[in-house]
Amino acid sequence: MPRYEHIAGGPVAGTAIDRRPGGDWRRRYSLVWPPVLAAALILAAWELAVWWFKLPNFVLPTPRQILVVAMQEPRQLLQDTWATVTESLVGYVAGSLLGLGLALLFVTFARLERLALPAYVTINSVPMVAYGPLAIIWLGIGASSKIVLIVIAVSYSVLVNALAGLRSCDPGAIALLRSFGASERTILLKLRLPGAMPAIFSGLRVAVVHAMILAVVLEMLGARAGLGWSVYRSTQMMSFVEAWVAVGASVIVSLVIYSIVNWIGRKAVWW
Amino acid sequence: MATTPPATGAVPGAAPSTGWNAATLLVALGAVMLTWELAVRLLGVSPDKLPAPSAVLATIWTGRVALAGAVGTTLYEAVLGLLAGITFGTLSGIAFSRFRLLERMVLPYFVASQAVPIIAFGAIIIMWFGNGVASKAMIAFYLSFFPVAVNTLGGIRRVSEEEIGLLRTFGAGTLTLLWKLQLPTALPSIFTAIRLGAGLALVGAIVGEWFGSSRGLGVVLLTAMFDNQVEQLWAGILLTGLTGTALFALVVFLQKKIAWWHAEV
Amino acid sequence: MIPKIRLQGISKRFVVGSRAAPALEDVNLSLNSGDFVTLVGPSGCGKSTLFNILAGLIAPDPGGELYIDGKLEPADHLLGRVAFMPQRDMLMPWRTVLDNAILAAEIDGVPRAVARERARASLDRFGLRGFEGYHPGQLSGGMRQRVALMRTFLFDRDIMLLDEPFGALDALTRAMMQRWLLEVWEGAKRTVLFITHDIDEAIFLGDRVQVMSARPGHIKTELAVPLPRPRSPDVITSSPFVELKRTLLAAVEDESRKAFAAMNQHVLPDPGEA
Repeated sequence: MPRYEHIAGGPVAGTAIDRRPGGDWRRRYSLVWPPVLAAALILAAWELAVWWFKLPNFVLPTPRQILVVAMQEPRQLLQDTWATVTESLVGYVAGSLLGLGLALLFVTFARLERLALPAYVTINSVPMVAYGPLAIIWLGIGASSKIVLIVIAVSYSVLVNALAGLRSCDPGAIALLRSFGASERTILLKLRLPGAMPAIFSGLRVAVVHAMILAVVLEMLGARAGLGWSVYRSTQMMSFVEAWVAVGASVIVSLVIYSIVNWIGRKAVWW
Repeated sequence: MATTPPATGAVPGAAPSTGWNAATLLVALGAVMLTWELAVRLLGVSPDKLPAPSAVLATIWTGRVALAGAVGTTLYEAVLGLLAGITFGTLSGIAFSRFRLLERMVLPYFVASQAVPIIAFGAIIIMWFGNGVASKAMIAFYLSFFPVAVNTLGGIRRVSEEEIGLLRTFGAGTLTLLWKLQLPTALPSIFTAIRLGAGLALVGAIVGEWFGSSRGLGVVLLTAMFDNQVEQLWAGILLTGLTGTALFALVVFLQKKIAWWHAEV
Repeated sequence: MIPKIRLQGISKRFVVGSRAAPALEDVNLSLNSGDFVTLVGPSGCGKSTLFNILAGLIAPDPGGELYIDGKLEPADHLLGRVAFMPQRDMLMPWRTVLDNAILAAEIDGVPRAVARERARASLDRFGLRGFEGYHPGQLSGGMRQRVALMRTFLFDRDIMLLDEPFGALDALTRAMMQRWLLEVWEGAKRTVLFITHDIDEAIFLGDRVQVMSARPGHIKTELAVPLPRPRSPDVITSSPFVELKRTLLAAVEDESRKAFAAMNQHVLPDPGEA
C-alpha cells in the first residue's frame, strides 16, 4: 500500500484525513482530548511524585494541599486577585487607547512623529521592568506606579503594530481614493484603519499578556495588595504553600484573560 | 491557535520597522539625553526626582567597575538561559513537527506557559534552585524557549510537500530532509524568535535577581530603590537599556550572517 | 529492443471524502533508451500525477505495472531511480548556484568536492559560467531554470522527467531554452519524458508526442515526429511541422473541450466514462 500517499502532486490530491465525513466535530475533539489527557496525567504524576519521594512542602506541595490553603484565606486571595486584575485592565485599556491615538496622530502629522517617536522608542528600549524601582520612588507602592508603566508598555506595543498596519496600505488603493477627491482624513478612516485592524488586534492580543505579566512582576517591588506581592511576601516569609497558592491563582487568571482576549480577537477579525 | 507575539512591544531594542537599527537608536538616545539635560537645567528640576544626564553619567563613571560587573553577571545569566532556550526550543519544534500527537498534547501548554507571569514560575525556580546564577538562567530559559519552539515549528511547516517530494526523488532520508531542507528553511523564523527571546531572557535575569542575589543589574536597581539613590537608579536603567540593545543588535548581526536570505515572515 | 521504460495499465484514483476522483486510467506508455518523448494534454488530465508515479512519490493503483529496462519495478523501489524536475525550480535560497546544482548528486552520496568539480565543468554548457557563487535570489527566471536543469542533469540517472520546465518563461526565453535543451540532451543522451502545454514545443523537442486525454487520463494518441535532428529554429515554419501541428491541435482540442465542459459542470466524471 502506498507509503507516499500524502505526497500527491497535481490538482487532484485529496487524501487529507481532515476531510473525512463529520470531520468538523472529530477535528475539534481530536484537538481537545490530548491536552486534557496531558493535564490529567500531569496532575496525577504530580500527586504521585510528591507522595513517592516524600517531598516536603517547601519543595513541592500537592495540588490538594494548595487547594486547602487557598480555601483557608479566600478573602485575601480574592483581594489580591482583584488588585492585580484591575491594575492590568486599567493600564491595558488606557494604554491601548493611547497607543491607537498616537498612531493616528503620527500618521496624520509626520512632523509630530519625527519629534516624538525617537524619544518613545528610546524609552521603550529599556525593558519596562527596569523602570519599576523608579516608578516606586516617584509614585509610591500604590496601584498607580504599576498602571503608569503598563500604560507606557501597552501603548508602545499597540502603537508599533498600529503604525505598521496603517502604513502597510496598498499605495495603489490610496492613489485611487485620492483620484476620487478624498481627503487625507477620509483615506485614513475609510481605508487605512480598516486595513490595519488585523495588525492592531494582533498588538492588542499580545499586549494583554504583557499587561498582566507586568502587573504581577511590578508588585514584587512593593505593593499594598496583589498576586505578585503575595508571591513575593510568601517566599520571603517562607510560607511556601501560600506562595504556590498565589502562583496558581495568577496562572489561572492569566489563562482566563488570555483565552477571552483570544476569543474576542477571533470574533472581531475573522478574515 | 496562538501565534508568537510579534517581535515588537515591551522588548528592549524592538523598534518600529521603519529602518531602526542600533546606530539610529544611539542617535535618538543622544538627542533624548540632550533634551533631558537642557530641560533639567532650564526648568530647575529637583535632582532627587530627576537628575541630569550628566550626573547620571558621572555616577556610572565613578561606579564603573562594580557596574561593569553587574552588567556582566546579568548578561551571563541571560545569555546562558537564552542559549538553553534556543537549544531546547529548536529541538522541541523539530519534535513537534515530527510527532503530531506530541504537538497536540504539549503545545497548548507551551502557549499557556507564556501567558503566565514570570514571577509565578520564577518564585518556584528560586525555591528549588536557590539564589545562584543557575536559577536566573533558568528563568531566562523559560521565557525564551517558547517563541523559538513555535517559530521552529512554523518555519519547518513552511516547507512545501513538493520540496520534500523533490528531495525524496534524490533519495533523501528523514535526517537529510531535516538537515538540508527543513532546518535551513526555518532559520529566518527561528532568528525572529531569538530576537524576541533575547529581550525576554534579559528581563528574566533581572526579575530573577530581585528574588535574591548579590550582583547584577536587577540588584543595582533594587538597591538604588531602597536607598533612594535616584542617580544610581537612572544609571541602572540606562545600562539595562544599553545592554538590551547591544544584545539585540548582536542577534540581528548574527541573523544577517547566518540566515541572511529573504524569507516571507 | 527492450524499452527503457514501459508502463502498462497504470491507473490512479484519489479518494476525496466519499467520492473517488480518478486521475489516471489505464495508461500505457513505452520509451526506448535515448528517446525524447513529449507529453501534451489538457489541464487536470493527470500529467503531473503520472510523473509523480514515475518518480516514486505516489504508488499507482494495484493492477498497473511499471518496467524499467524490462524489469518489473514495485512502486516503492522507484524513489531515486529517475531524475525528476518539477515545474517550480525549488532552488534553495541559502545555497549558491553551484551548491544548488550539486544538491541531487550530493544527496545521492557523491562527495561534495567531486560533485562540485563536475558541476564546474558543466557551467559553460548551462551558460552559468561566472555565476557559480551567486544565490538564486539574484538570478532571473531563465537562469534559475537552467540551474534546476543542471541539478537534474548532474543527478546521474538514465531517465529524466521534466514537468513543464519552461512554462513560466516568456516566449523568447523559452525558444532559446528549447534549443539549448536539445543541445545539452544530444551531448548527454538520456531518456527524456517532457510535459508541456505548448504544442510547438512538443513537436519541436520530441521524437514522439503523446497526447493525453481529459480526466481520467490515458494516452489517447501518439504522434511520431520524423523531423531530422539537430532541429533548427526555422523548422517550426516548415510544412511538415505545420502538418504535424494541425494533427496534434485537432487531437488536443478535442480533449481540451471535454476537460473544460467537465470543469463547468462542477461534476467529477464517472469513473466509468472514458
